[in-house]
Amino acid sequence: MNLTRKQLLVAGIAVSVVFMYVALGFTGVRVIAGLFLIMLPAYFILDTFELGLEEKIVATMFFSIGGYSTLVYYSGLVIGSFRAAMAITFLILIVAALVVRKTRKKGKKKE
Amino acid sequence: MNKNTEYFLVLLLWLTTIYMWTLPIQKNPLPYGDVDPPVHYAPGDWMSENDKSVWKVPSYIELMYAKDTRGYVAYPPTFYSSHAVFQIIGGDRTKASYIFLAITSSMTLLSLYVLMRKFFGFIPAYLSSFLMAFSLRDILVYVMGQWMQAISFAFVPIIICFYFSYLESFFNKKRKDYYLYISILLLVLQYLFHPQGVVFSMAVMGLLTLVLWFKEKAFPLTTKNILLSIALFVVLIIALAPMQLSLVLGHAGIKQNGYSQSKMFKINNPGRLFYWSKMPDDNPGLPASYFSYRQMNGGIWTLILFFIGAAYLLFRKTRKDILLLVQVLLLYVFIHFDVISLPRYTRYLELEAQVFYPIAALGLVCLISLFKSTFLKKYAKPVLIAAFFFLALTVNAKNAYPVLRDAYPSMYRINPAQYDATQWIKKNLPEKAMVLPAGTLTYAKKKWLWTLSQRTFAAGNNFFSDDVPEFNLTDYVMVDYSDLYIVNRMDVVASLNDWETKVLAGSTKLFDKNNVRIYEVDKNWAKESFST
Repeated sequence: MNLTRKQLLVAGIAVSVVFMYVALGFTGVRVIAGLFLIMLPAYFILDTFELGLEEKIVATMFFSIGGYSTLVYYSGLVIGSFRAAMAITFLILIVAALVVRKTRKKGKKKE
Repeated sequence: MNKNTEYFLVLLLWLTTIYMWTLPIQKNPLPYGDVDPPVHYAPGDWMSENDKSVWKVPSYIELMYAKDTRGYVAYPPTFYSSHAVFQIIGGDRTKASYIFLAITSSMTLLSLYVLMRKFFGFIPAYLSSFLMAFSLRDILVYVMGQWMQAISFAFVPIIICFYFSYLESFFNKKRKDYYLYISILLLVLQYLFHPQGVVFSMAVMGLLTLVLWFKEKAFPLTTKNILLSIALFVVLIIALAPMQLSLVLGHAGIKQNGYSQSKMFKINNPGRLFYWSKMPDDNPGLPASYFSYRQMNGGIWTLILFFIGAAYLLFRKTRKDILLLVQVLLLYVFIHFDVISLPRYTRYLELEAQVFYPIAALGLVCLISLFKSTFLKKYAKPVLIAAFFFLALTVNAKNAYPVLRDAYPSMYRINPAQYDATQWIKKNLPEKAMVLPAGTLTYAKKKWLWTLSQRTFAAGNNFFSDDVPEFNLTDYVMVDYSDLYIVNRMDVVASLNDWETKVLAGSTKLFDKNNVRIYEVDKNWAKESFST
């Protein structure tokens, strides 16, 4: 069976979530789902480069765990609440990533 | 092989690794680790518990550091912040933390897979990552709690992958600068997790550039590339971890751990150059097996394959072969830093698996290619690959599994009674409280009580911790029988009970639950009680 990239990603996420539930309970599900969620902005950006899927996913994982957390830390200093900083940073990154994605795709079309 | 099947197999390996590496918390999710982990755990834990980013650390954390950090966290904030993020996402203070630590500490296998898959194909990539999942030295570093180092070293293959992709694009005359800048951004993040890995990544990038420059007779970087890369790295590091820069430079070995600038770069025991690794005289608490290739890598079967693979790479000498050989050479240099009196060289041994296993996997591929007849090759390939998996599972995994399954059993980790007591302390004692643990059995556990209660504990090696200066400042005493009951030392229970009756008779008992009691004592209590 040949799955499209989107189907493949969805299937991978579903398998991971089920696996984490069986192995580590609801805490495991929350951790893995959270990881996939915070990976979205970096994935949207890296997806605009000519990279292999595995290259993109693993680099995204490193960027997200390190980059997102660093930005949350500094936003937390300004906002005063770490939890609020997590939400606000995520929203800003998602918007920024979608803008970058759109701009880069437009640029590519012009080329 | 179908790409989808490849992805499925990698996902399966990754999830199995997470399952294995979380074995220490599957039955008992209470914190464990050696002496350093409570210190690494504390800032992130404080941030998530108090819903604040920590700029200047509370005094209980500052007192944990063995050196002056001027009130800041000792390392850049990235690790602490990511720990806090996942503690909050997971909704569980301890279990979520350890799932996060298992995921991040084992990321080398993914990072290595990407590097090997891109340049050497699926089979060598999968075989090397499969072995990485059971690398005992990496598992020991993770279980003992050097998490920041483990994450930092996990960055090495992915950084090298992007940097080498840039070099390849340059030499193939299809230059893609974004590979270079992605590698620099990853290098920044690697530094933010722990600076030690950056030194190795940079050394590989530098030496690889030089060797390929001579090989291809073309310098692969433009002035613009170099200046932009340096600017990106320096500016981001100064912007994202300004307060830790001088501390990090201190960690590089200057005036630390008995090392000083005057001692550095002096020749020391040159005979060491003839040994791969050897337990140092000033061993920083690592088990002797940590320094043995055989014990860490399941005998010498991987070493035999490594030599076959290395010979094959030396014979072929393509650019990608040089990429792997340069790492071996640099690993040799780095783990012999003690010969020029540089500190912290033993930590680089953790890189051994990620440097050796890919070459061992290629050694197997080389063996397969030795069969000239198509008929023989058809059968040799699955047989040799099956033999590789068989050895990896029956030797390497068999050694790794019990280390994870039995990590820090009962007495060696915080028990539920102690955890409850720390929660009570966190809620009820003043921030500047100094608690003396009487009866808690190990130094590491006293430090965990310190971290989990978010109050300072007089943590010493002696039974009553009267070997540390904080002892004299005691204003609360935690009489803890829980460990003694676990190890069934009723004689010590009786003598501790006598001591409690005699010395704490006039003090106010604030907490009494599950064989743990907490008393409030006068400021001079410690001096008066222990002088007689």
